Amino acid sequence: MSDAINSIKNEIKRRADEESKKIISNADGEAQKVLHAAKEKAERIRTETVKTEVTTMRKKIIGSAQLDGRKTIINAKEEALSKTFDKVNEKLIDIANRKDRKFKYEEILFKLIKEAAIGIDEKKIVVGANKKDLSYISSNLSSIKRKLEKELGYKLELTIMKEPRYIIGGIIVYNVDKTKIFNNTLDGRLMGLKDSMRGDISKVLFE
Amino acid sequence: MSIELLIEEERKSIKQIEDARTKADKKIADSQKEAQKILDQAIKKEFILKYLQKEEEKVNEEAKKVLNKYKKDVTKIKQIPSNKIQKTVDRIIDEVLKI
Repeated sequence: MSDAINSIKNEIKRRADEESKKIISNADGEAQKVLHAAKEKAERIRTETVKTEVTTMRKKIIGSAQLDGRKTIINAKEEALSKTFDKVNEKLIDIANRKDRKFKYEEILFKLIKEAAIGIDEKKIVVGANKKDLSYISSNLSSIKRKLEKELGYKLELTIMKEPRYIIGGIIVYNVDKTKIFNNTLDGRLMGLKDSMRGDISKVLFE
Repeated sequence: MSIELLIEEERKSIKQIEDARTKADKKIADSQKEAQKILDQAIKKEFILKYLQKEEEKVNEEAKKVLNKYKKDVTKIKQIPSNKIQKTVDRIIDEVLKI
């Protein structure tokens, strides 16, 4: 074989090799691009698909935890308020039983009767109280009546209820036909304050 | 003779290039199949469920922290000093007996 022929033969082979390599190399590049694009798209799809569900799930679980948490706070505060009012109750019982020397219960009782009398605005009133207080009022009826009339500036007919009330202390006053009633019991006054003072008491206790 | 050798060599080179093209086309076709598998996998339920489970665990841990914070607040409420309670009691008594 001549050198020239050999040379041409080698050139043909060289070109074929080069071309083949180029074709394979380009295909490899293209294949990599296709796979890379698919992986990126798959990640976007996964994230988007799950994103909404995760957001919804998070809102539900965290929301529920916050709700439960707030409930426990409310319950704890209610319990603290309840215990506070229980203590108030106990103290009122001591005051009504004359065990707390800081308070002159008889004076308190008189003021309660006077306030109720003014409120009822009748010349004849009937007074109800617990057993102990009924006994006290009964024993001191004349002096109480006298003092009331002096302070009110008019004559007053005062009768005592026969049946005692089951109350901590204080009085209930009716007019004769029971069309008017003035609840000036310690229990009633405390009950009336429970709602109105709740906000102030909560501030003092919990802040 | 020499020409025939060259013609033969040319035929071989053409075949070689054709084979390379066939191989290249197969590579691209295979990659496209693989790409489709990847995309199909992305929306497969098992994967999504697994991912969601992991996320749920994370969120539950977060929720525990939220609850723990509230528990601390509850503890504070239950530990109100007795003098504070007594002051409040006295204040209420004053209001009850304010005639």
